Amino acid sequence: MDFKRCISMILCMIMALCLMGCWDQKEIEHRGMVFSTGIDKLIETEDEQKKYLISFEMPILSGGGETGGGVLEKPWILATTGNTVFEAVRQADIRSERPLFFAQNKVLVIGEEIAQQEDIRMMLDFFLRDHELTRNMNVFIVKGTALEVLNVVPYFSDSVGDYLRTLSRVKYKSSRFRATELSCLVEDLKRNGSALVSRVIPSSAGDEVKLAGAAVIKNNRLVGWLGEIENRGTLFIQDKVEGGSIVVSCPICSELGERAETITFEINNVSSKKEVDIRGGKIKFGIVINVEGTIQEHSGWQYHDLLEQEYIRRMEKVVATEITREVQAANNKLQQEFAVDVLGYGSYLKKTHPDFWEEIEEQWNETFFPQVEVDIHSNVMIRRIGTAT
Amino acid sequence: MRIRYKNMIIFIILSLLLFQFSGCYDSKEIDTKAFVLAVGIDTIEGKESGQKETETIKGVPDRFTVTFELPLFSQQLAAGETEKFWMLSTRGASIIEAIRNSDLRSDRVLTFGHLKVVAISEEMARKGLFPILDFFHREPVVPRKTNIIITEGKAGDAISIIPYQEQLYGIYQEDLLESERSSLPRTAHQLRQTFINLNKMLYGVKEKRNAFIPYVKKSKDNKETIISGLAIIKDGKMVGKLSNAESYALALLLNLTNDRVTIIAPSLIFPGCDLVFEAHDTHSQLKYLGDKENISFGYHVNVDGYFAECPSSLIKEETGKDIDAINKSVEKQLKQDIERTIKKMQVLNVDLLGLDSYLFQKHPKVWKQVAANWDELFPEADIDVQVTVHTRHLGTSK
Repeated sequence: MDFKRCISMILCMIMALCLMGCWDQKEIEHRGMVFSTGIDKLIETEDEQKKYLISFEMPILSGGGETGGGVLEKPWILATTGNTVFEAVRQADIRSERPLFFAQNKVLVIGEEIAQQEDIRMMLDFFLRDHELTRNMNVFIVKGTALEVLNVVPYFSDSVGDYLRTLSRVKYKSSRFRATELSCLVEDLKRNGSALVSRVIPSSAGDEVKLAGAAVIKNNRLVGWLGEIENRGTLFIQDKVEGGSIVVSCPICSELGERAETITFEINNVSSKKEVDIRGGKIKFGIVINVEGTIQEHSGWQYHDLLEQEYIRRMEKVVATEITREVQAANNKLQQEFAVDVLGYGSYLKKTHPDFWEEIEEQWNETFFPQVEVDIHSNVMIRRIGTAT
Repeated sequence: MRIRYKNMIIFIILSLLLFQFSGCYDSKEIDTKAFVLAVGIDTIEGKESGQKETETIKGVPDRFTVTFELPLFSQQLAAGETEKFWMLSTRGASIIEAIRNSDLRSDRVLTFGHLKVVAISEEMARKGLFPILDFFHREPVVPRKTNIIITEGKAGDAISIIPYQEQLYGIYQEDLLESERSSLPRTAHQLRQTFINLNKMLYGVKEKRNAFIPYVKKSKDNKETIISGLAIIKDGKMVGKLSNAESYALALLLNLTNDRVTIIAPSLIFPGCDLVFEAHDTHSQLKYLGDKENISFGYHVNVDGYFAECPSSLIKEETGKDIDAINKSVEKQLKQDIERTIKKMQVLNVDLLGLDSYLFQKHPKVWKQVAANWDELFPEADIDVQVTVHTRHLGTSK
């Protein structure tokens, strides 16, 4: 009997441990939520020998309850310095009464100058190692400084982080920028130290940014830019185009000597295929791009009837030529000007011809890649012409 | 065995029903959209002309500057902030390209389902409307009831005004154009009407491309816009203007008048005194009076209304006794206006009255003979106008 009592008493005492409640509570108002982080090069001063100027966007959250909360004030842009990212975070913790909390950090913005001069992997290490951070955060490289972007007060969104992240989701409308996630960027860098990262351009008025084009990373450093149309050209090769418009001159109007009328073709569906031919020691890639789309605008509508089959066929050819030219231009720039294989030619060769790849792997980037012949062909189908003829 | 079969059927039906519960797989959240209320379209001038906003190696040069009015909703505004909209301005070789350029800058996707106003600058309209209107015609989302206006000066500036009573320009302009006291033809401001006018087709002649679109001026203090008549569109290009009085004359001839329109006419009995007459019921009738040699039309316009105001009460007492004199005064004024309008159209050789389709429908034999050289015949055509005015009451004073 005593034994039984003893057991139940021990059980009760153990159960009492469960009633301890919030011993490890973390109140949300004691956390300094970081929405976006910016990394810039620190302009050297005499007394400081630091490398980075790091700024955090911390929204000032207020209210709640029945009246509805939300962000009403301009966020706090906390800028600190450090030789590593983590050093800067600790510096910030000295100044912010709420410890910085990174689980909501969805955007990382890197300034142009620091990206050119420093190894990008060194900046990304903190974001990969820290357990609070998510790997699907978007990475942008600014044409300018990251601080400029963080200081933007957007119209629709409450914070720049939200603004940039939502903006990068409308890629399907234009395909003129790319949405680079941290995890994908790291994979690319691991492969051969090169990648394409989305580029962001702040406006001079400080009320908006333009998300367009791409930054070209070679040997883990920024080497140059791709324009927005060139960026779409690279997306065509990667089979990642989701939409966008192509403006061409009307094929018949110019023949008839009428003033330049334009046709706007809207891309609906794209599929592209790669092929490789290594016969005779020469590497030759063939890329076939199949595009389906709509005629969205035809400024010469008073002259022509879009219901004519033959006219539609001619327009398809004109658009296809334009797409081929666009892709060719982007490909040439990457191949000749930058000599950087970011579009996955090497990895395709590795998958399809592993033995051959082993032979040439060492010399691929310097010798082989700039010499590779790329043959681009595109087919266009016009599916719809809208609610007008 | 049979029970088993039955159970199977029930199971299949139930599992098919599961598809009904898939929920919002294609949901489109309202807070991911930017509703465009007004679009302003301008030409590109100065150093920007011939260039592209888009970075590209080669391409069709930009043709338009397009300004979008995007309203901000109250939640997005901090306390004390007054700005209620974002004027987003981009350039492009076509309207779609300009929209795509804006998609690189706005985190919300531009949506045209609630478009209220399309404003086109006079300079742009004189260059030609067809390249602009195609987008609004082809895009299924754009409502056909959207208003279209031509603005004096830049359209981008005109849609940037901050009106007194409304918070947003688009709403203000729509209310103003739809006013029942407007002297413009009833449907002149609708995009639908413009499409119909520009698409008009007649057998035996080349397609007619004439239309009329409200012409709007911006006030100097950037607080209001003033409707000042109609822009005349010939072959898709603006060629001239009609004043407010001339627009009313056109509305009378087309049987498209609004309910209560004020007419101001100088009194015949008391020189120097203006009578104010309010027309509430009008009707006009067109007849072909010519033969095979001369082309001649006759209009008979009937106007019912009431005597609204006389600047001097003394004179009103006198005129009130002589309703006939009021009728005559208004008749004279209206006849002058109508004749001036017809003359203007004949000088510009723009047939906004639809005389050609009238002949085609009602006098096909005559039309067959004149169809080939209608363009030469219309400016010479003899158009006779008769106006009858009835004053129905004098208000609550004598």
